[in-house]
Amino acid sequence: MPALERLAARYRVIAPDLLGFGESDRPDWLDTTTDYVYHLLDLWDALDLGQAHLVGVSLGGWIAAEFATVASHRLRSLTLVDALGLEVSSAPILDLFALSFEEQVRAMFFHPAQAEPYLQPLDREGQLRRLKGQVTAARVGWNPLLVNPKLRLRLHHIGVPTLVIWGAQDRVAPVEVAEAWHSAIAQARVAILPECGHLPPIEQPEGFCGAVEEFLATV
Amino acid sequence: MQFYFFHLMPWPTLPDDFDQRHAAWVDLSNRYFDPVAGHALYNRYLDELEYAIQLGFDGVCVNEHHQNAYGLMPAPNIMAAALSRRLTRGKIALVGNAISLRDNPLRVAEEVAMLDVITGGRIISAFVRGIGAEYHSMSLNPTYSRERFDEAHDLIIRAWTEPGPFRFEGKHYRFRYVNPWPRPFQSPHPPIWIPSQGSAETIEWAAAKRYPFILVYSSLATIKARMDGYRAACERLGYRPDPEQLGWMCPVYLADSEAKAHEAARQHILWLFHKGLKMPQHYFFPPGYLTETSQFLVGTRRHFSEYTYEDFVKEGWVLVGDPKSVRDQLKQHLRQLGAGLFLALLQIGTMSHWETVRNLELFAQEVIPAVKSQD
Repeated sequence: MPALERLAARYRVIAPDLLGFGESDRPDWLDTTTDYVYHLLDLWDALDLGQAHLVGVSLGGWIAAEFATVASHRLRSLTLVDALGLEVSSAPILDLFALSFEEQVRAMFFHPAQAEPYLQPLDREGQLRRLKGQVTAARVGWNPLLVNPKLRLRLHHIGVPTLVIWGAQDRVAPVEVAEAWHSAIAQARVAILPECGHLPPIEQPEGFCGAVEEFLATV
Repeated sequence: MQFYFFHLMPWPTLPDDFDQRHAAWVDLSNRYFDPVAGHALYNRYLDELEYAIQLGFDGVCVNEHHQNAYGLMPAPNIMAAALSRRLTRGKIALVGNAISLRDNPLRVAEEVAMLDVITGGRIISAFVRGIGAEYHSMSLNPTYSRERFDEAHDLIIRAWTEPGPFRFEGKHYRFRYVNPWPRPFQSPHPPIWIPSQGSAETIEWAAAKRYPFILVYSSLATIKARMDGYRAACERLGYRPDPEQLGWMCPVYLADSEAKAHEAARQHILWLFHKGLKMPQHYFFPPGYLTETSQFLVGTRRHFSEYTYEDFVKEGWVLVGDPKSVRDQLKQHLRQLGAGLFLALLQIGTMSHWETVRNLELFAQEVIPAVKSQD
């Protein structure tokens, strides 16, 4: 992914396939984002990361926020990108599970052409990998729908500088959710990217990397 | 050989623009349900079930579906209760309680035991997981569907057979005092049926438990393959299943002549498959409802909307014809399938009361005795 390559030119970037996605299997015990937090703590220790910057996108943003509420001391900063997980009653998360795969992909982007590469036919292995990810997302996010209603009560435990990056036209998690993160986390600032949907690192890699680099330079 | 009348209790009055909509499930607004018409319809449908027993059917089947126009029975046990004091003979088959959808399966153990005691042991208790759309309708996590089914099943069977109170500590269900009053009338418990579209996991499990296995909505070739699979599973387990361990649920339409039957049946059969069962694939199969391998396989399957009326007839999804033709087809198919339970869907889609009564009478008088006599 070009955004990761650009960041990797200046930083040591670790981008794990989270449990149940990509090349990682889904253990039977995995059913909440809390399980990801404990797994991430293990990964942190295994890689001896000490204090590091944490960036999470979408479901990864939810997990990053949960992690930061219990392990803020392990962080130098937190970046939440179109993060799920925070319940905002006036701006509910889109019910992605009620959409076809094609509708889900199209809902991710502001520019329709951006969706096309993800709609190409996959071989059997690719389809099974995709199914695995869909099942994992359902396992942790079916109900409550991609939020943890208690998370807001815990956000005051985040004690590091936090950047909230959001696609202005995110149809999955409306931009109002960015404002909710901003107001609930003490040291937070916001960067809204124009002409951008739910996945800024893919749709606006320049704007995304620029915002991250500028933020990290101040931390 | 046993014959059951299976009713779905459909809501036939769909909005005029229904063909532009994507589903009769989940998000078809309930403002299209009219309670006054519904009052008449429920009572009409119950009359039809009662009449079937008068006509000599071995039993009647009620079932569970939620938030849809396909079938108005969210609570099969309520329908069975309505029938239980009116029917003094014949079985009442709950086909079935969607036990995975219940947060408290002890309620199912209690309700079915009550029905069994009230009817003096004339209840058949099928268990299902509920279809995929119901995991959307109930916002219930589909990735737990099978786990919850297995656990709820074990809890209910133990509740019916082990003296209480005892503790049950599952992953999804935990009870410190399992001790339902009443206990079922039948010993050790009402017969369990397993209706299914025939996944490999379900076939193995039902064969191991010796539960009658009921195939629904498939072509004859598929039904034959699944029943053969069930028999093979039984044989691997060291026994030969009784024919009444294999059931086939099928829409049936009879009229005095072949031509009349097909002319009249077409709209009702197409209502059932193209309207009543209309929903996108991701409603049918939400993530985790099937194993990932099974999900991969259904991705290649034809959708109901791609079948014509002629396809349904030719492939044996439905039986339509005059009494002689239906009788001959049914004899031949049941012999080939080796099945001893037949669940006839004799009210289909938009069929009127009198059309349904006629269908029931023709089936009871012209088909059942002839098929039974060849046993």
